[in-house]
Amino acid sequence: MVTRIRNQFLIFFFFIPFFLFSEEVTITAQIEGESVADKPQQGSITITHQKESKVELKSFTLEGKPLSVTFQKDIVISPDSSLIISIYSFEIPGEKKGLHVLPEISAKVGGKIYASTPSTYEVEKKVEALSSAESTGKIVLGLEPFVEGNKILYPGQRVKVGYKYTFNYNFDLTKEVIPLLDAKGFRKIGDKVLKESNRDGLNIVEVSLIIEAVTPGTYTFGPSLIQGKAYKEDPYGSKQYFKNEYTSNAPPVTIKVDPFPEMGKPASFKGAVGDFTMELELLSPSEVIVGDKIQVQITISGTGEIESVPMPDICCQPGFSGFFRLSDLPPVEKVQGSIKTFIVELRPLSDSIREIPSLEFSFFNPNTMAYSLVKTKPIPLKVVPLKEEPPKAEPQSSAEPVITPVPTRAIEIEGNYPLMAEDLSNSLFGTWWVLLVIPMGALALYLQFNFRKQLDQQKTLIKEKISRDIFEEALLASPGSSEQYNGLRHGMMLRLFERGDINNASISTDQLPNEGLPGEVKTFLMRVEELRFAGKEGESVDGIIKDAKALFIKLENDL
Amino acid sequence: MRIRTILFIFVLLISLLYVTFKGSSANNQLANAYARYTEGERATTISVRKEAFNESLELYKALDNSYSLKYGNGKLYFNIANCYFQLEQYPWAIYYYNRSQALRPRDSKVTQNLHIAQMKLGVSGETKESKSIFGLSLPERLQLFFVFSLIVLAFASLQIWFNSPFWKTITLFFGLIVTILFLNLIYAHYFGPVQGILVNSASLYRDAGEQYAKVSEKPLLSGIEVNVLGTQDHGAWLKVQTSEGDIGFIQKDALRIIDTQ
Repeated sequence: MVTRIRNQFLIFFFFIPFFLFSEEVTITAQIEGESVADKPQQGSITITHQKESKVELKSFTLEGKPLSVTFQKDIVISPDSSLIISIYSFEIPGEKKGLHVLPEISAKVGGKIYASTPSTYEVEKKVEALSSAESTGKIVLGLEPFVEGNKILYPGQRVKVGYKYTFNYNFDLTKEVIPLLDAKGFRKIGDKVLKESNRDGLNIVEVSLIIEAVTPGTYTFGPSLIQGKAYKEDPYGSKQYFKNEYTSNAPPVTIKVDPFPEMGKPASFKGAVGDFTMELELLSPSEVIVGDKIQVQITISGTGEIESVPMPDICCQPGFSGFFRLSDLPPVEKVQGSIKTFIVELRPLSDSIREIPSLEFSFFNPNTMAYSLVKTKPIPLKVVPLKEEPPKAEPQSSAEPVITPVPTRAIEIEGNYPLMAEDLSNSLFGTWWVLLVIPMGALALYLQFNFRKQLDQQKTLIKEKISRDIFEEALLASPGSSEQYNGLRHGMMLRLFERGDINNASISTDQLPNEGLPGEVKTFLMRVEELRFAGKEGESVDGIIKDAKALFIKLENDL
Repeated sequence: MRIRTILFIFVLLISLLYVTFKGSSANNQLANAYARYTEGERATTISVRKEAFNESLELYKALDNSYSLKYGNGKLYFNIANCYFQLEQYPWAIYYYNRSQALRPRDSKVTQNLHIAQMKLGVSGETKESKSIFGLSLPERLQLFFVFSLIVLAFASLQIWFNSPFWKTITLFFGLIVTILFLNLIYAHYFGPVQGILVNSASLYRDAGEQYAKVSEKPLLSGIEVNVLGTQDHGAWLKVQTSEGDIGFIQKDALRIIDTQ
């Protein structure tokens, strides 16, 4: 039982993909574009199917009822594939505002019926004006120039100009003559500003620009004109143009720039237009040495064209010329709201200066049509003379000009170092070359390490040679002599020590272990002692030597 | 063999003569420069003073061009800075005082004169007492690194030959010092900030080009110190950061980089 259920399970999941792959017809349906309340909804049906499986046009149904569709196009997916996508459009009656469900739409493809899955769509509020414009067929296109502010300006004054475009359909403009935005003869301030709005179903786009009057004169811009064709977009994004071309004309706009009146123009007037006040402030200490730099801040505030307010001419005003020297750099200007500041650098040229004189600033007020003058209060300033006295001028002939040398100032800094040739070299071991000590040091250590290792190995070899040498020497000694017997014993004991069988080569024969090679050596040495001291019969020297050799070879080879 | 010995001695003599001659020529130039500078200090009129300082500056600058003293003792840069100061070229004076201070971080003369030059330009005295690390200049740190490396080499050699925990401990201790010094040198060289002095006032632009908007309407004043973050347009424009944190681009001619690391 369990096995049968398992097998059915496997078959189900194994063969499902095959069923799915063989199911190559899919239908999707959706509402296209924006849905407006009470207005028929446009939709599209997409059917993916084999080329051979024909779609029956009259078989489309929506909620069981026949649905009229219009064939749009077939799209081939790939040259190697027989699958194609067929697109149809349809229309359903309008709905109220809110969220709605598009029920499944079914169709017969290749003799079989297939259906789409239901989907939702939202219906927006009715735009009455648009629908009324559409129902009456009225297409609106308008152009209106505007000038915000006075049309009679003075040089330096600014005004906002632009155009208002009004329309209720999309337009592709074929001609546009808008000379007001070129504003020839005026200085353009900033970029064009675009503002969009909607009123009574009409779209309004306002393009504006700020311009500044430069030269007196009368400037006429226009007439202006825009021309173009209206269009609607279908659900697939294609433009559907209306038959006629629409034009909108606007009358010319005149802006007059009057020159400043000459009567009553102060000498200090430099073109400021508005109504201002001015203040002068000392930013550096009020006690300075002749020639030292001082900073003053000029603050101009008020209503009017504050950004174009020029800095008052300091150099030529009474009390400044000949007494102060201005910096070659232009002053730093800053505009914040209706306040403009200038930071000016001056240098007093004489210790007879007692104050920064009053500064005059004049401007033209277009409201009163008159010039105004403002003056700052003098600022006390103490100028300390230089320490050294000027040298006395030598008497010269009346024909030669009198030249008074300018006196020097006291030295303010510590003097130079007297240098030698050694000061013209880089520090010893003070350059990046010293980093070479790393690889060279590493190399030196490596060589030392290897050398030490070699020495250790050599010592080991020497040790081995000693036991062998001693044994060889013993063999060369007089046969049966005590020297030979001692040499043989010493060589064997030393060999046992080198092998690590005993801790000390000087131990007595009795102390040797009885097992293994040490045991054999012990047995041999005792034989030798018996021969030497007990005079044991049956033992010959040759036999002893032969056994000694064999035993020593065994000691060497048996590690 | 004899010919080789003669050739070797000959080459040695020529080298000795060259070094002596060069040294003597440099000594003369230095003496002249110093003499003209002190003449300028004693001058009673501006024109004589300016002439003397100008000549002194020319001589010092010629020596600076002939000898690359990036790892020197900084005295030449100090003297050049003084000449610029006396000629009221304060931005250049500040630049050379900074170069001198990088090589002489503990010299109060340099710090004092730098401060006075900055006051002349109204530049805020935010300059650090020393641009160096551990209060040492770059050549001093390199020398220290070299000395400690030799010590480590010596103790490591003793450890190889005598294999004792004592030598091992000392080797590791000095090895740690050398490692710290080495990492410090590498970090300062590769990751340390590159600083420069504005020798001309310049506007700070948002990008590399005069067509871009300025970061601030107020130009950067000459004499201020900035951090150089990068270059653009094949080095024609430098990306800098001011002490107030503003980042922008200036033309390379307005700035001179202080080689501190």
